[in-house]
Amino acid sequence: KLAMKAVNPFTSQISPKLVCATFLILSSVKCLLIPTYRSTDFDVHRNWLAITRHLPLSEWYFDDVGGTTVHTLDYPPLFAFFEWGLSNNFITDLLLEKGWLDERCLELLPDNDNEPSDRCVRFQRATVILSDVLLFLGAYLAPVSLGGVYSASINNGCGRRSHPWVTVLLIVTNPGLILLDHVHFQYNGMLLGVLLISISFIIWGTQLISAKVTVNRTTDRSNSSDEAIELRSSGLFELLGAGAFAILMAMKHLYLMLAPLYLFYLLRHHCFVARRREDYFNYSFSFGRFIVLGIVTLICLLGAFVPFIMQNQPRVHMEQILARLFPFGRGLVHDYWAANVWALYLFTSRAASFLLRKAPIQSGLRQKIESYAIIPFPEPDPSTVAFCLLIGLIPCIISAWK
Amino acid sequence: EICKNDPTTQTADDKTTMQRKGLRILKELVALHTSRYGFEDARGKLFMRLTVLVLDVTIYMSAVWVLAMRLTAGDDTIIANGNIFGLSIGQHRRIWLLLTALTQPAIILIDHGHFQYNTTSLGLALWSFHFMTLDVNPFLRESDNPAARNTSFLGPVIGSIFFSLALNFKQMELYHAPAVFAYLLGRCFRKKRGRSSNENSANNVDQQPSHIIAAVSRFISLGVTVILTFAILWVPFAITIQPPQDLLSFDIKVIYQILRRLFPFKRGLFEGKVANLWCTLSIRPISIRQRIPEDVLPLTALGLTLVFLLPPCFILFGVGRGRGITSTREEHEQNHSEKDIRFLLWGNTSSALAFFLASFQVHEKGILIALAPLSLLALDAPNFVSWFSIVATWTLWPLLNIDRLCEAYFCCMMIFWCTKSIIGLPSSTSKQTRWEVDIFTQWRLFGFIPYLSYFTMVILHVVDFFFSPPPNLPDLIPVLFSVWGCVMLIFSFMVTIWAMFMQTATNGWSSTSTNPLKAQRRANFSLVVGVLCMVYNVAFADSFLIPSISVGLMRLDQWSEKPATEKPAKHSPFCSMHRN
Repeated sequence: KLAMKAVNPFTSQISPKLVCATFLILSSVKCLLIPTYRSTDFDVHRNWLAITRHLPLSEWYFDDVGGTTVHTLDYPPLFAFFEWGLSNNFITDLLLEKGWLDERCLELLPDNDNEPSDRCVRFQRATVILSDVLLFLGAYLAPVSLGGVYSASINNGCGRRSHPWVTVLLIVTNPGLILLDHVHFQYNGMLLGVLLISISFIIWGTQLISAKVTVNRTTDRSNSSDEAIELRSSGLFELLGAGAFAILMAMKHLYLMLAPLYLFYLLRHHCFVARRREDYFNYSFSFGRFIVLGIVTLICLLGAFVPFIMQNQPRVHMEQILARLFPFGRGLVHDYWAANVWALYLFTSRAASFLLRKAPIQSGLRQKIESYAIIPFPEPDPSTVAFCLLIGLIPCIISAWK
Repeated sequence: EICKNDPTTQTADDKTTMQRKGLRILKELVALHTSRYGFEDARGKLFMRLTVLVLDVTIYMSAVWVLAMRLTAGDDTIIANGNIFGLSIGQHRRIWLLLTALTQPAIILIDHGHFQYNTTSLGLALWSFHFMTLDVNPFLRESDNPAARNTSFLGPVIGSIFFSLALNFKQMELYHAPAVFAYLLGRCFRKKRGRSSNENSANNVDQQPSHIIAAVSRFISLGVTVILTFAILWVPFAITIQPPQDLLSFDIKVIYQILRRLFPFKRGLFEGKVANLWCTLSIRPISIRQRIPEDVLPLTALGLTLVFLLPPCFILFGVGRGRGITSTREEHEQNHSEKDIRFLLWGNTSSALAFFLASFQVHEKGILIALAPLSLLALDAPNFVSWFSIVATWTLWPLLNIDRLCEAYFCCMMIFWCTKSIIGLPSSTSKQTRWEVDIFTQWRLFGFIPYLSYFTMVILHVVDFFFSPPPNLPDLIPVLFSVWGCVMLIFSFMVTIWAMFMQTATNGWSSTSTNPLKAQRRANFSLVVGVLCMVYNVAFADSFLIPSISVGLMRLDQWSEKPATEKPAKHSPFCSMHRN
């Protein structure tokens, strides 16, 4: 009989004192980074604090301070509610009352006149530093959940267990993350923490597989017993993981890229139940589990959109939100090219047009080559890009399925 | 002088003052600086801060590394279970020591926040301590050369070169000078190793003159080294080239001017509110500045400082001579480097604290000079060193407040505290019992002192933050900081003296007394007598004889000792030594 392997999530070698001390040290270092350079992302988030503080819900995604600002709200609704929480809680009100935070920090300001005061900078940087608690939580849970996997492999005689503390430290002291969050100013640490929490749940789920053994004994004398072993995943942790991931997507739609991975993994792992008959496994689709998973995911993902749907003209509102989330009008690449395929594509295109311009041939021939080889290369439209993306995801999906 | 008349000098006073005060060695670098003026402020600031950082890493951190390796040499032979990070005991001790010495909040805040070059001179001083306490020739390897195990005076010579460099970089190293002088003087009289003790006893009469000759020749070699180093550094200032005849002329007035700049007696007894005895005694109703005439004040300060310096210098002289070297053959053959460096570090801390407490024109930042050697003793007296690091940073608060370094102050303290809490206190090695020189471990009675002092420090911070002083006492809060800081520093000074005496007990100080309990009783007795004498001396300020009598008392039981007999160890009411 297969026994149920329960893994206690709190057996680990990382003591809370260690995590607290690391949090304090890193927070001190981040405090020392307060007066460093901050980018326009700082002004963007300050503007969002202002929008969520002063404007009613219906205008959050429409407002742009009379056209004087480009820092419009372009994150999904749950992040907007996060900013609303930051600008509308009792601590903020206390700070404003005591004069430790100036009112101007939370005002709707045009782009040419939005210089933040020292206290405003400190306030916002403090929110990022405190939101890193989620990062620490995720970084703590991730190696703890992997611990069960490692100990299993050690029992099998393979694998080496590294100290879980190393994993935590490598995650939280990542210099890129610190630079991006505490200098350039973003909230990536918090989001990464949520992602790690969701991954932890999924990994825990892999270790909790229950087996139900049903033995049908026939009454005839052939002594053959009809054993059926049914394997199913625990369910709860998968739902938690899916829910956490949906919440993450509702905070930053960038993580939509990971959605196919989650989809196919959970489909196979959670929704299919395996029954073993003699020598082979028989997979059957459990419709009930699929429905439950779908409901949980949709609630977590679309729950944040509900207040916006309940406004007047929900369709216009949703279209505006989608337009803000996916600004295809901005072009294929950012001002500063990221290190991706489209940058190579554009670079090749520009190199080709440069070479063609400098080549010593007549203009008639040049025009022919230009039209034949389509130099410069055409810029792909969003659906083409999405298609290429999905093709690129195929190996990942296959391995997730398996 | 170099930059003063440069018309392109647009930046603030601190730059020119700094370049006048330091950088005598790096004269070409100063010229490079002048050629680069005209930068915008941000880049100029970046450049200067980078210079501090580079010098800090190359000179100070390397010195700390070398000394840490030396102080923990031989710890790797101890096999024990590591802590949760899988470290061996030796690694754990080394990491603890390095982290304590390198994350000192006071040093980081002053050098990289307030902007100074202290770490350069402190690093040079630490290098000099390393070389000075070497018993053997550092350039000979034991495997190649049998003479490598003989006592060699090359170490102190190199050390004195480094110390002269440190002294010429910043004259604040004079705080260490008496201790170093006492130790080197003792080293001149150390008997050479490499001869059998039979020869020693047989030719005892003949040994005396050659022993004296050796001592004098060593002293002369040191003197020549120091004078040469000073000459190389100072003479370029005094030589001028007369234009018409193109002759080199030596101008002694420049040297006098340098000395006047280095020691500004006209500035007064103390500058600002510093955790000094004089500042504490200047408040009403004591008002020592009114009671003592102004021209006598420097002499009073000098006298009191000399009195405070007597115990550490006395012990260091004995250490330099290598007390215990003539008792047994094993001790004679021993390499004294390990105990010498510890004594020298304690002695330097003690001497720096003596100067800080009683000297003329002391600046708040002078506490760093006491902190730097002490931070390397974090393995011998962990609780005391941690406590003192925090106290030293705390006394700097009024200065940091003005410099707008409040946030950095709290952040650096937090980093210091949490780093040590993560690494965890390493256990002591088998060679020494558990932290004999750490007063907070040895005297259970004093265990409450760190917590009480932390509580009071927090209270004073809260008072500073929330309350504004009454209008008739505008400087109340900095004065409170300096008075309470002075009290804690006086306590620290006496602890350093106590620790030096305790160190003598653990290292087989004298030939006749090998009973450590006796030595500890002597240490405690000297502490109590020292307290009483200090109080008397400070209260009446007219007699310098009493403290010197106290020093004599400390040695009294040494003179009247009988040969050691086996006595059962009595439990003294003052101490509770725990020996496994």
